[in-house]
Amino acid sequence: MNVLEPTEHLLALKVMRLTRPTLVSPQIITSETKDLPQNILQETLRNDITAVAGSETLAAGQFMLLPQSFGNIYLGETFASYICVHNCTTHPVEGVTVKADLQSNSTRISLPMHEKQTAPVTLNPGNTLDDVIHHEVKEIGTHILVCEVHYNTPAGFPQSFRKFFKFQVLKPLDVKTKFYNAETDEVYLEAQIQNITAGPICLEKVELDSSEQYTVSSLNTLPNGESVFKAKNMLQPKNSCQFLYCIKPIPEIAKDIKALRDANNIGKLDIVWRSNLGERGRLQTSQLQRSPIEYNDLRLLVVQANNMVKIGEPFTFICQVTNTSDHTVDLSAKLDTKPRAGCEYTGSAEFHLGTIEPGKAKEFPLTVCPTKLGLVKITNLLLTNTYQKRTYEFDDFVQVFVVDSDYYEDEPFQMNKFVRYDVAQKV
Amino acid sequence: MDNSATSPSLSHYFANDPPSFFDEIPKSGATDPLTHNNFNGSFQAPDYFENPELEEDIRVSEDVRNFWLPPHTEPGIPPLLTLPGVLSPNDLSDPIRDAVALHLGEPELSQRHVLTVGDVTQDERGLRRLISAGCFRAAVNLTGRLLTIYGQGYGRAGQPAKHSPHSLQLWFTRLALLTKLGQYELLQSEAEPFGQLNSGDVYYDFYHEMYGGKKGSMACFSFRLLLAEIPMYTGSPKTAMDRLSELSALCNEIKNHFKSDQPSYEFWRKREVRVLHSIINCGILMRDYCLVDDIMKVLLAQPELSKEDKRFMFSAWGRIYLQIGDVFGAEHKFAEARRLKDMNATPDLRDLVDKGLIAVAQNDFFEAHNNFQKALNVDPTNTMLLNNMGVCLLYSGKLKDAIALFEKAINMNPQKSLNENLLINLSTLYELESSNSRNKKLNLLRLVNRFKPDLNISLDYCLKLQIFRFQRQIQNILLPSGNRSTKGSLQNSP
Repeated sequence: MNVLEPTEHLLALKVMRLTRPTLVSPQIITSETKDLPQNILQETLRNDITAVAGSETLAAGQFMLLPQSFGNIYLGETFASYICVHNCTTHPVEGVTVKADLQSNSTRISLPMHEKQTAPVTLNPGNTLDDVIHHEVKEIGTHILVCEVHYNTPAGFPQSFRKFFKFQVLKPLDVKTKFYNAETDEVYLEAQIQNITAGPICLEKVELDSSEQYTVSSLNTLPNGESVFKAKNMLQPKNSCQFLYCIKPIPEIAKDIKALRDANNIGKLDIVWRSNLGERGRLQTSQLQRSPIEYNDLRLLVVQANNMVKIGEPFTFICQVTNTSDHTVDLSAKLDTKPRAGCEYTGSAEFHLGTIEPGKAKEFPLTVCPTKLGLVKITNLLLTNTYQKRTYEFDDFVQVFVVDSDYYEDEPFQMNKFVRYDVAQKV
Repeated sequence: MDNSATSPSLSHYFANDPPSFFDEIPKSGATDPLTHNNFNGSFQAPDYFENPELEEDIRVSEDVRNFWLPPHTEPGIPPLLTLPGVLSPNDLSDPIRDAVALHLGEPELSQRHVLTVGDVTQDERGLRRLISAGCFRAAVNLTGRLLTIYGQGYGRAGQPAKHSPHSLQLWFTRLALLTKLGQYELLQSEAEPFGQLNSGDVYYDFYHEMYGGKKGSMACFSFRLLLAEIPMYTGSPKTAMDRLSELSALCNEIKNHFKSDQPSYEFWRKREVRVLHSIINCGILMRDYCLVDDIMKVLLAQPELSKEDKRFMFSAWGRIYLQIGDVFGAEHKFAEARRLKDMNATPDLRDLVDKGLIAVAQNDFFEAHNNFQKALNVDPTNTMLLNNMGVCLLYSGKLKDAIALFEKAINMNPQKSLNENLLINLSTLYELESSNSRNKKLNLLRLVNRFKPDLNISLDYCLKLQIFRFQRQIQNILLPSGNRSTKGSLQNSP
């Protein structure tokens, strides 16, 4: 290896990346007392310094081993390295300083070392000038760690050398988002997070930090506070996890159709994950934009409806129609259900709603009778402005989950039975 | 020379620490075998007392111990036979000896006084003596000699063989030791003829007249477990998982068969637990943490577990969570473990180590070091603690102190501390410290020569002696990219 070192210099520079150590265990081999080795293999195991007293036969170690390879580094993780300058000569070397910069495709950052002492030092033979540097990587792609060492030759001339260490920063997660505008003011965000690192990770925090115009409630915990994910947010490589959030405009905005139409910034997803022995990474998405709300002259909201109904029972819900145009309208409503084989519900309706002034709203109930189990979507409501002979059609404006007549709502949801995360990893 | 001037990082980082035993390290340096080559200790085989009548915790009859159904055979079809043979033509050589001869020269070999196959009686007792002294290679060589007497020596693989409980015990011992030594290639091929011990000729039922109608498995249970585990070491953990699952199901069945017979039931329950531990270990290897979780739940639900057992299980579970990075989950399990202890008891070694590891996961190496230090006050000669403290010191920017601590651990008890993993840690730091690390590593080799009969990881890897050029790539010491064309070596995927 001396071949690789620039031998003309009095100092040597070494760099080691500090990922978290790993916990190692001994080779666990046991026998029974009546076997040839009697209890000797157990004794050997017990005497191994990497074994854990009390649970020797479990490979859950406590002995820390230093990282033995550079490993991968991902966006949002902290790059930590040990930098060591060593005097490999037999006489003191004066005026020694070391400086580390991290250069990415777009920036070059100076990484602080020895924050409390910056003056050049004198290194005695065999002594070292060393420190740990830390930097959270915020960019994907090639990075170069540039280390620069200055010192004075015995004759007093300033001398210096530089070394470059190159590595790639990879993308750790793939985040896909989908927005659903509900019948009410609510917006639902579905965030799908895929682990594209090489090993399993643990999602420590996945939160939606809402913008000022919205409030967020996370829908990822059970009523008892536990996560809906059985596997404790652990994600194998290539596996994905879906998170659901319900976002509501704050009341001042919900009241004001115009303001609501302009409030497209919903918030940012803030993700913290950990991998081996707590190695931490953090990513934040850019501002997420909801799909734009398109109201023409009328806005239909469902203000009251059950989520679930038993089959054979009527499903009644209350709609609210708001006149968002600048002229008074006179409306008649028609729920157009064509009775045919395989239709999901029955119940047509046709009535006159009366006049609504600009900015005002009116509520009215509707009743249908579901004929199919599962998720039923109510569609095809026609509102006609009799003044202008203009008809507005509302499709798929409310949904209900139809259950069997012997369903008990109190039954606890059996997580183990219905939800299971398995290893997709090929071994 | 003022110490703070040479290593500024050290002076401020732990500046307010109360005096600890680190302060003593430099003073005691004069007698360190690692820095001054004047150490006179050498390998000492531990006292070994032969105890042929060693009894089990639970006494059961041989019928219960060997309870196992032989394979079903169709009349008229000849049964499958087990035809093993030793596959290494010569005794296993001693790689430590070879490395010493290469790097330090022949004269240094006079310092090597480990037991060899010739130093013990050529029987079971001699074998036990070698294993107890950690001379696994010599023990493997002795099994080879003893198996030759049984006609199952070198060149006999595939030839008809007569099995006895004793010959199968010899094979079990041999394969167990090959596993310990990491000789996986030889292990795999020598284990292959045994399959999963499903041929008729390893059952007493096969030798009807010779054993007077005795029934059940002639091969011991530990042998079955080992054979199920072997694929874990040879790169097919899925196969191991299948075999272990089958083994645990059978144990469960046999356990329930003895439901009305308490000692036998308990005996088989313990075997089942041992297999479940192996399944967990295989799950950890495959990183199938969901499975590990499920089995841990099963194990902890056993009514027979003592409070102490439960506590160690919860602590192990917490450490498994730490490996994945689930710090909250780990804290939760560690808290469960603490709850199983006397309320007023002061934190013991277990608690302190667990706390230290949590601090490591949170990147607080100062706090972690403090916890390991406190644990060291409870157990001042604990090598694991010294090692973990050394690691914490490095992450805190105190390379020289870390090296001093690793060396201290070795000086305190060379025979026990010259563990493969500690050697790797120390030689990694020697590499980082200086470009003249070779001499220090050769000093380590001197100690290994004197104290260690065998290592289960290659010596070149442990000491990073770089006999071969590719050795450079398995290190984490970064190579400057300007000097090499293979820049990809910095991103070794795991």
